[in-house]
Amino acid sequence: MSEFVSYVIEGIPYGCVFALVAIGLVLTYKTSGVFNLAFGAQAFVSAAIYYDTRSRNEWGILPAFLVAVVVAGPVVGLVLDRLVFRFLRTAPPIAKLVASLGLLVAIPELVRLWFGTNPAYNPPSIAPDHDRIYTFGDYELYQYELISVVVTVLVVLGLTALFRYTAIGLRMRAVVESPRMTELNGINADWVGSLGWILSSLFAGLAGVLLAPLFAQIRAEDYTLLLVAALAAAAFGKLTNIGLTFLGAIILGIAQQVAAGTLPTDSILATGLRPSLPFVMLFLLLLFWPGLRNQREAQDPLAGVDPPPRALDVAPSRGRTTRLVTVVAAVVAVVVGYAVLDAFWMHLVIQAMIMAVIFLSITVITGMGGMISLSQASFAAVGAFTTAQLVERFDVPVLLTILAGTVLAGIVGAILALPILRLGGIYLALATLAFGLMFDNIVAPLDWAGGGNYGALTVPRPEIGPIDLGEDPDFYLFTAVVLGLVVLAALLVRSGTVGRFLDALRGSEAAATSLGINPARIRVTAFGLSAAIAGLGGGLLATFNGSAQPSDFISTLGLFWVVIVVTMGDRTVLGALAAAAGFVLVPQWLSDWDFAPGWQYILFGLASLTFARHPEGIVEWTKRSLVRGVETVEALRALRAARAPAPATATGAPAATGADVASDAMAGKGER
Amino acid sequence: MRTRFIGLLMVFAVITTAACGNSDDDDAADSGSSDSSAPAETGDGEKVPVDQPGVTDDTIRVGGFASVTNILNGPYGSAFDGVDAYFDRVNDAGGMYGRKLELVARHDDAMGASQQKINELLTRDNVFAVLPVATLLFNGAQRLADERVPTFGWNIQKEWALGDNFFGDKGSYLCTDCADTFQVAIWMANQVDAKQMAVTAYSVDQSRECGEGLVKGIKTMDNTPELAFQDLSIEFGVRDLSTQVKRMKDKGVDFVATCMDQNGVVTLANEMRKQGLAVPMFLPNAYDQKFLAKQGDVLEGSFVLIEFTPFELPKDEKPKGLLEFEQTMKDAGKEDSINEIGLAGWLSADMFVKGLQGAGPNFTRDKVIESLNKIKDYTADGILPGIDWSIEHKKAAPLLCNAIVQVEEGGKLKPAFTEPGKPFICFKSGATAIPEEPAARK
Repeated sequence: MSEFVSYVIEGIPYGCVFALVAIGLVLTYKTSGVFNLAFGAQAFVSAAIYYDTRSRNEWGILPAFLVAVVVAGPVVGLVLDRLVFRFLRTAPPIAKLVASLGLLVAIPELVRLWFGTNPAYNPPSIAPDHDRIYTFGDYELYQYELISVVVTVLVVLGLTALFRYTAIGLRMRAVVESPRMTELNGINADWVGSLGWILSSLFAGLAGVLLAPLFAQIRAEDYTLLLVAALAAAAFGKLTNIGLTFLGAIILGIAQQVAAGTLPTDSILATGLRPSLPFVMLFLLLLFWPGLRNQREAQDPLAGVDPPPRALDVAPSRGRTTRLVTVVAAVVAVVVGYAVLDAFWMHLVIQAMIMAVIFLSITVITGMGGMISLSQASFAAVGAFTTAQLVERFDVPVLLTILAGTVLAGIVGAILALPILRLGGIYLALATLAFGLMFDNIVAPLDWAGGGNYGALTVPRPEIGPIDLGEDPDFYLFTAVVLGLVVLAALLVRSGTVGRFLDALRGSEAAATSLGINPARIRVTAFGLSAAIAGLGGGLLATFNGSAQPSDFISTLGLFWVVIVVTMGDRTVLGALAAAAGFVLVPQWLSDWDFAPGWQYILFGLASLTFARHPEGIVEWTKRSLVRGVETVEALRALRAARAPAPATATGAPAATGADVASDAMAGKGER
Repeated sequence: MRTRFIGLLMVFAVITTAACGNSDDDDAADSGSSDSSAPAETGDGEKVPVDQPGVTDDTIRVGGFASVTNILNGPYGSAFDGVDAYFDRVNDAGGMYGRKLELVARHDDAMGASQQKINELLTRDNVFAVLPVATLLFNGAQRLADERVPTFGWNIQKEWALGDNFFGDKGSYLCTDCADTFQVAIWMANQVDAKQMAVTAYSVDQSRECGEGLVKGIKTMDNTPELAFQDLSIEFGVRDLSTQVKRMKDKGVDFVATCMDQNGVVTLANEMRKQGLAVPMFLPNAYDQKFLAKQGDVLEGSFVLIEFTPFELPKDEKPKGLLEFEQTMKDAGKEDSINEIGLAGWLSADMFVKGLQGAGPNFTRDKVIESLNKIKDYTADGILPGIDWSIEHKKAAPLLCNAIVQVEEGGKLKPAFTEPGKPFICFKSGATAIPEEPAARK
């Protein structure tokens, strides 16, 4: 009992560390409706400024704090709101999530352009007597830790009072729920929304500076790592309740101490469970915590006043000729590529084609199914590890092992879908992220999965009868065929029963159900199918690389995959293909032009912000622009023709005037 | 990321020569000597046509990749500076066999793209050998092994043991989870009269394996302190170790060995100081002068493991190789790269040149590999304790040697347990007991 009390007391300061980040997440969500995964990156901005002013330029504590937290924090929030999130107030959760993911990858790299990449060791604290130790019975706290605990408690009390007892707190919540309704009451929703971002960013800055002394150096990744661990506390607070979030963070801190103190430290249970404890808690909370289990995002009561959004696809049905031409063009492109690509570019193109297979899994689950899955990297890992293990342990032919990996990944995806189906939007995304992180920590390190202590698993290239695909040109053709088949499968799914049912569910689940569609079955099918495609891609990647290792499939990489696919267009096959090409080729081009790798994150991150304005994706937006351009040219031609006198027809009937033709063209009538 | 400085080499032009005929070098290699041919003696030698990838009439092209962009903010790009500095010396001396050594590609794998960079080196950069490699991950190494490309660099991954064409700066075989690997740590614990040891590590692969090696050593060998506490399951990114330190205190721990990164080491040291646990720590991953200078106050008294001659030795005790490295780097204005990684680059270049010397004017990739694998005591003029390349691709050396420095007040480092001219303390591979005295000093 006394030991447990000891864990509880030791868990409170640690819980306050989680609380600072978790409350920041909840605060942002509460005041903007954005589940801001870039919160850690924002904290990093202020921490870097504080380090620069305090350690490099030897400012005093107060001026450094004022500049880093009181000035820089709100400015960052204001900029983000004005440039990005103002346009997303009524956007669906995926748009906000993608924007925050884009910022998560872009902000640290932008800061490093100024802050530099040299290690910033020994971050300073705001404590005047940093190393002074205060003793409370058997327990000790550094002065900076004590300050963090006190500030956290004050923040909890202050924010609770703000939202419960003040008009501005109420307005902030109202703007998140319905900007239009709020404006009908004479409140400037725009201003209140900005105020929310200013407040949450101020808090991000405070967290960044308070937490910095915990680290050996200032790095954005440490804040993000902490944020991911603190997600469970935010879920405990249902993403809205500051007090509950604080409590959740304290429980998390205590749970960590109990696990560290009681689990046998050399057991597989400890090595697997302890690192993944926050993610296990998050997963369980999402499944069983009352209030989260069936929660979907609050709906704007006035959302219906807008006209329905235009269809995301430009031309959903194409003529047979167009399809035939597309197929022939693709085949010609592959053959030409085979003939002209040198070894270097062929290697890259193969890699891009394999990534396209994996990215098509995101097209299926997110584009067609409307569900955000952040565990696609784990499904790809299932495919890769299955392929490798069956080859290494049982000497099964590689092609068969890839197929086995595909099937197993599909089964894992379908099983995962069963408990999380009832979750919607951001909660579904969080559940899949938690699954991915658990997979990284528990499954991937095991000997029978990712290889564990045995290191990278070796995977040879496949053989088809007498044909050995060991050489890249042969493997190129093989990959092209596989990609073609997956593209065909994706198109068939979209135009088939599953795709139509998914479309119906996206429109109205109630209406679809009334028509006899079983939402659970369709969604499980979509999840399974998507996971199987990702598994196939994982298997291909393993055999292409010659090895399968956990570092190729970590969940954070999977986040990046989702961002790039959604940015390029998750509703279309072309979007996935373009995303894969960009994923592989853009870093190479940047490298060739002597840009630091950080620029790819800046570019991809900033590109993802276009999603706010163009949810159809960059590819579709470009296509539409081209179509509009052609239509405009046609209309101008028609107008020019209208100015010319209309000749009489042979029958003497008046001809259609140019103005009529132009009018039809503008209205989009007639054949294209 | 990578910045190409093609053409920066070959600035100086002083030629001192010693003909390096094939037969002569084979003899040298067979004798087991590694120090008979410093760069100044490599000379330009006889020039004959060579039909090998990356070899032209005028140059021998090599290229490497490093995790220049990395989340640890580690100075991995320093490896390029080490190669540059060494190649400058060789080229000043006339190059190799009438050809300049040229580092034509210096890629940044950004931690995750080594596979692509290897492809680029082999298919586009057209290099004869791959050096330096200084990465946190070494995905794609299998291809280098399959194509038998001579590869040199900073060895922290198991992939270095994939083939006999890999030449790491500390040998190519790593067994961090073997019981005898960290005898030096346990021996040190004995030296400071420690009776109760603690071992901590993250649950992630490399860290945990290091912790397992320490635990196995303490548990299975004779003449060791008690293993009072172990925790090899610490979650990466943990910011609180109060429970662990409390248990260490409760169990009377008087020596702590940890396989964690800088963040973890600082978290642990802060917590130990807070709880009044003032005992020495053994840090196998912390030889970073800038880091130790900044965190020295909290790490004072800790022992840091090094696998080469410490930079902190008095000048008159430093071996010739280390003095040359430091001086050349200073002359080149690359003082910032006088660190472990810069040295790994220097050693990579040195081994490559030794391989070329051994291969003779009509050199091939295979000949370079074969000649290096005949060297039985590669020390780089005293920088290393000695690598036997005839065996150290697949198994540990008979003697496991390390140097130790201790952190003093203000983060200053002082070589520990050394004797003049002998910075390394060595233990027998496969030993079953910790000896009272090291098996050898070098």
